[in-house]
Amino acid sequence: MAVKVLRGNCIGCGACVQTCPYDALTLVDGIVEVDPEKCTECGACVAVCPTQALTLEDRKSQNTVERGIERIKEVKGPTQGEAGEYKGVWVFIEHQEGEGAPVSWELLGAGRQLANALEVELCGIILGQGVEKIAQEGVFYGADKVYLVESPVLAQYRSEPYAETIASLVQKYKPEIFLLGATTLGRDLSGRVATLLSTGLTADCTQLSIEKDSRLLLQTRPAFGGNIMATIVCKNYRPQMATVRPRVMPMPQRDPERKGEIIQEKSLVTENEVKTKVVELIREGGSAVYLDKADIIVAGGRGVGSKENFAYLQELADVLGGTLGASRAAVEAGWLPVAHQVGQTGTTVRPKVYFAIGISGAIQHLVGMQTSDVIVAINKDPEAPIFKVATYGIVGDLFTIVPKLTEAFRQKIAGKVAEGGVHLAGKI
Amino acid sequence: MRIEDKLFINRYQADKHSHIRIVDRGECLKCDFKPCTYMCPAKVYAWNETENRILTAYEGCLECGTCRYCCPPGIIDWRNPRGGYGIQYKFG
Repeated sequence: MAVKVLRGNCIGCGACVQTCPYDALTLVDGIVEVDPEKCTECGACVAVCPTQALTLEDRKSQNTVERGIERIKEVKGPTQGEAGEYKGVWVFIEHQEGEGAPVSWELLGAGRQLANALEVELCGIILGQGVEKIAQEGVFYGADKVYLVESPVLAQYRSEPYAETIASLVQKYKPEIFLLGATTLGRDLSGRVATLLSTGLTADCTQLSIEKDSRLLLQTRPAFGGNIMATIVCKNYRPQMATVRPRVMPMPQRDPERKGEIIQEKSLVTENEVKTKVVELIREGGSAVYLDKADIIVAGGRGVGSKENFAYLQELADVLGGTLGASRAAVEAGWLPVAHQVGQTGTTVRPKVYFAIGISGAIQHLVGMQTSDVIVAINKDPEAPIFKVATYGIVGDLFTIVPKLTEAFRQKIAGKVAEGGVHLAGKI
Repeated sequence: MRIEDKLFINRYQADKHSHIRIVDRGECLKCDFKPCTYMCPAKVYAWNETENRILTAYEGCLECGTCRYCCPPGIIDWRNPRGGYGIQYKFG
């Protein structure tokens, strides 16, 4: 058994050849070859390969994963004692300005699956003032019960009163799973709640499932910038807490006929106990660039040619409600400010749609955007590396293609708006 | 095999501002061979036909200093990146 080469991925950089302590690797015609006699499967080359072209023949790694699964199955979960009393799946419903956050509804959808697998009930929990309507929405999106805490202290989000109120309710009702959205608010709150309850928390999960035999929640999250997927379990403490990345779970169907219970609860926190005071809420103007939060990014590179030509891209972005992005080359040429730069030295983005227009796709750019849900590449050069990661590729001149695309989108969206109003970013 | 792919194996802490400055871009227009575009081992310098100027991809700079000596009019103001920035050779 020796290390395995995925010939398609190898770029012939030679990094592995230099690294191999046993001289088992050589470059032949720009692609690495392995001498199985010399290879000891030490894995040094796998670690150094920039394109994941080398894998250890699965025997060893497979075993580790299988052993892990076996061990999870053996754990029976704390069915006896104090922790065994914990039952139910809870979802924290986040809201802002009278509207529930979409991620909370996504979580109710994901929570439904978990609750069904465990045969327990799915509950929502909402804190605030004058939020009963949103609590009702929670029922429409799949909650069996929604715990509603209304108090002037909770009117604005503040870490202390929110965390303490939630912790006291969790202790009262003992859910076994507690989910929050991995938004700025959710990630602030979850850590406090988890430490108050002395339980385990996995941040920014992208997959959740239940291991049948042990009834444990398998929380999977990307680590090391998405290079490793780690599955984490919380064996002995309850609730099992996880924050979940927005937009990875499918949005459940809203059913306005659905019935559920809304339970009023009281918060014991009084205003005097809270150290944080909200002085003012400042809304950022639309002109600020939030590449990492954008749903649609229209990015241009050296192929765009000049600052003036970015008007084509701006138009496409305006029609789609997207944000302008740029490759290093375009920023460096002074066509767009550095805040727009996507890639290794710029911002890492993960939009729903990424338009790469006139971008060749150097690996330094790809690492900043290749996890986008849909990548549309427009480039003159059919050999451009961007096409390797693109979901859809158009080979051709961007000055003819982009205006046509813009026009087509404009008509399509105009049609949809006439049909009864569509928020595009939410629809794509 | 492109040079960017090899540069990606290096470790950089790229600064926000370039440590390479072209002092007089007018001299570039007069320069016939533009040696910087082929002497640089990291292909930092590229001539842009439409903009008529030298682009400097300073993030990939290996800090060898060749460009300072190869530029005939001597208009490359090259300084070391700030402390903690630039290329960080691991097992160099």
